[in-house]
Amino acid sequence: MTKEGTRNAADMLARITIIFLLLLPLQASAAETWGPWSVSDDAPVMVTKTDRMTAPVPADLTARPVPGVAATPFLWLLSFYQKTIGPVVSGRCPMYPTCSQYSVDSIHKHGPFIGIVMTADRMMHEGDEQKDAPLVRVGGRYRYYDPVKNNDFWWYHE
Amino acid sequence: MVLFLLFLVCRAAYGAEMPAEKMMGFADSLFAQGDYYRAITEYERVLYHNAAGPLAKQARFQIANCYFKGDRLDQALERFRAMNREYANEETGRKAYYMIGEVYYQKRDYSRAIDVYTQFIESYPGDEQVDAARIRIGWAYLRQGKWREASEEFRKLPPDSPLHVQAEGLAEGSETYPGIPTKSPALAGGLSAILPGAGQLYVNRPGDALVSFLLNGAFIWATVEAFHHDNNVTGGILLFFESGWYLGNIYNAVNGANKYNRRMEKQFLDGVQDKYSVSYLYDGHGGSMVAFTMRF
Repeated sequence: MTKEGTRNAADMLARITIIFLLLLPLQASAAETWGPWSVSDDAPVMVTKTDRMTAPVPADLTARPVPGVAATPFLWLLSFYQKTIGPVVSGRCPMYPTCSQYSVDSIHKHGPFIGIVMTADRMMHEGDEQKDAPLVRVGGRYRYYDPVKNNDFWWYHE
Repeated sequence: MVLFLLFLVCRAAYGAEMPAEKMMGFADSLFAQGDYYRAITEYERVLYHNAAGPLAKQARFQIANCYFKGDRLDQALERFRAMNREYANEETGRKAYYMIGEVYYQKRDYSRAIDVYTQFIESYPGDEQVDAARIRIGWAYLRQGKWREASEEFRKLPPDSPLHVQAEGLAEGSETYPGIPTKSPALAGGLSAILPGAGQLYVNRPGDALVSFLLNGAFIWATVEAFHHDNNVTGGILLFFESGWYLGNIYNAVNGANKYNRRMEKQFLDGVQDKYSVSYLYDGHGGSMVAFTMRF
């Protein structure tokens, strides 16, 4: 295979991988639409209300928009942090989603500029937020639930 | 002989179909337990065996009700709409229309809920749920912060209505809405723009204030020092980070003010709800009842 052919094949593979990765969240949200459920703890059907609270999926992220070019470097950095440094230090984060995931979510939702400002806000309000935020059980421990929609409700409407 | 007897037993068991009423009773029992997912299956069973029977309409209504009670609001909306279209001139269609308003209310789409309830009152002025619809309209206005409209709506209940006393109480409660304590988001943001952390102190978030003050103070100091010592690249990098902290500090103060206002409004609404409690109950046959309690 020529150099040109190799490059084209690599290019094609990269495109397919990106499309596959972009479609993953859609598949996940489709799977959420039906399945055994119950809102009564007295009559659980495999998934109880408590289970649902264990890993809440923020509604504003189920149909996540594709990030723009400007957001990509920030998302790469955050992805790098989550894969390398995060596993070592994220266990200490008392919030859900964690600050790095919150940053990813806010950049996806509002773009890099507002996303970064909201991330700075999140890092400042962790302490006082714990007085009011509801607790959710995630990964075997309780964390304070503070999704993006809790901090943009006064200017952003779905 | 044994085979023949087995055949008879099996045939008898096969032939003993459960009557529709019993199936419905079982489905209602699951519904009463709050097991809406399995109740839907049982109501579907009633429909499958008695599609043209007298219980079919009730089963369909209950399926929609299961989705509603089970917090599957989009599916509930779809079902109630279909029932309203199909039985437009019957009681079931009327009840389904009322329930469309309930679904919008639960979805917190208060404008649409008001539209549906208003249309319901205009279309069916003699219906027993008209007063309940008016109460709901009042609440929908109140949740939007439109306390004058809410009060007007509560006062529209006629004196002979069993809900009149509670509606008067709700009207009076609505009129105290302007007394809810608030913090100005603009002032909070302005204070933090002048001195990082000041806006957070104004909105009663001392922890945020301290973090904001220290972070911004440290980064501003480091940036100034870097430029002062001709470390322009370091200074530029620090300035980039400080810009994020500074804007985040202003956002934090404005966000804190809005959260404070939301919390105060929720406390107020919970207080009114608690004092003039209105419970919307649904029986197992698609009918609704309104229950009131008053606390002094």
